[in-house]
Amino acid sequence: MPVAIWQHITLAYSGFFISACLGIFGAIIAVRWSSLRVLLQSGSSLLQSIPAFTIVALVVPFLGIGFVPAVVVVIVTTILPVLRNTTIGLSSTDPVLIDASTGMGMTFCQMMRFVRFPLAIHPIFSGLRLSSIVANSVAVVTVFIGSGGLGAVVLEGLVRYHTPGILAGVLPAIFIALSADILLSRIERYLKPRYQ
Amino acid sequence: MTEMTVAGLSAVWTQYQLTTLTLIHLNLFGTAMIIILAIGLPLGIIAAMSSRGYLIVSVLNIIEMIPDIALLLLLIPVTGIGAAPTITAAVLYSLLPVVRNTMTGLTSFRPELIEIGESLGMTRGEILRIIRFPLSLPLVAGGIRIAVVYSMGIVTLGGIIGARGLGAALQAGITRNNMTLILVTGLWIGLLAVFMDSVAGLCERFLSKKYGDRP
Repeated sequence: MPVAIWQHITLAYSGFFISACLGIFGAIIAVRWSSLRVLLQSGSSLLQSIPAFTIVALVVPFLGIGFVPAVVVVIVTTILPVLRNTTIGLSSTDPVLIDASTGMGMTFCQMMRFVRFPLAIHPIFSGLRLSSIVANSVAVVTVFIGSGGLGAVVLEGLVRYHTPGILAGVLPAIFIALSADILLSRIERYLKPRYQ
Repeated sequence: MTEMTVAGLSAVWTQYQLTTLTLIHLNLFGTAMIIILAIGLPLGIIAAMSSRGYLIVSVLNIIEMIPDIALLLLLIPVTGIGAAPTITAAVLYSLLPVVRNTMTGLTSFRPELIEIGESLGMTRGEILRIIRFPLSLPLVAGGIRIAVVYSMGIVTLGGIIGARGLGAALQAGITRNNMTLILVTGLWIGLLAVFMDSVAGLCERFLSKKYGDRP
């Protein structure tokens, strides 16, 4: 059981971590080159419109089964909220502040670091928290391509039609998701600008 | 397997009645979206206004925890098969992005603006309408657009529990191992989702021109 929980956490949150990095990076690109914004957003919508279960089936011919394809599934299904909310957050900074920081001679990176990011903490974390929940539920479904973890416990329960067995997989998963949400809200509170 | 030519593709299109299925698909999707907006936006406003708002989000978090396919199957005993469980699942699954983004949008901006509003003698409703709503518009619209894409996915998945729609054609393609059918419906569903997303984007642009805080 501890092994299953550990596998589940590794799977869900390594996927989540990668998609968070990719999503935030993509959002920075979308803000820097606005022509790419539409492309990135419709690309991620196109990926997201495929149900998680179908993506699980689709990656098998390309990547086979096991841990890595499962992580890819988690990334594909969680990137949209991060990308979209970060783009909105970073691009809805008060234009007066952008003008002021340009006037102070800030470079694009400095503006990101000192102006846009601090002011966009709430929207970014709203997206991240949504993604962390979705990552957790997708990590259960990926059991069908051999990712192991809590999904295996759930599947075993389902096959035997054994309700306590299903709950033994589902309850830890819910607990992990809620703890991750609380952890992210702590980080959000720590990162938000002091004056707010 | 049919040939991948224009004639072959149009044969697949007519053989599986994809036009009818598309209309049914959009009907399911539209119904789900109307219910999501009618429930999600008020819930988001309540969550933002009350101090116990996080409870609403926690409950929705737990629903979101259930994988989409399991949610569909769990609803069958309650609502039967077909359109009802599909719409219910789409609504339950897409509420979280709408509620969370509405809540974040309505609460995350400089608190001075609220104080300014209060000192001008605005009521809570006026502050909501004149200050909070225009400032939160991009984020609320972003949540709705995530919900658009999510419910498109769930409506497709509804094909496996007898909600007719493009999911049914996709399912037929998978069981008959008909690659052409899978590709045609898969791509068509993806394009529809991107199209709906852009329609939502146009609505957002219209609203932000009319009510937003900057042109």
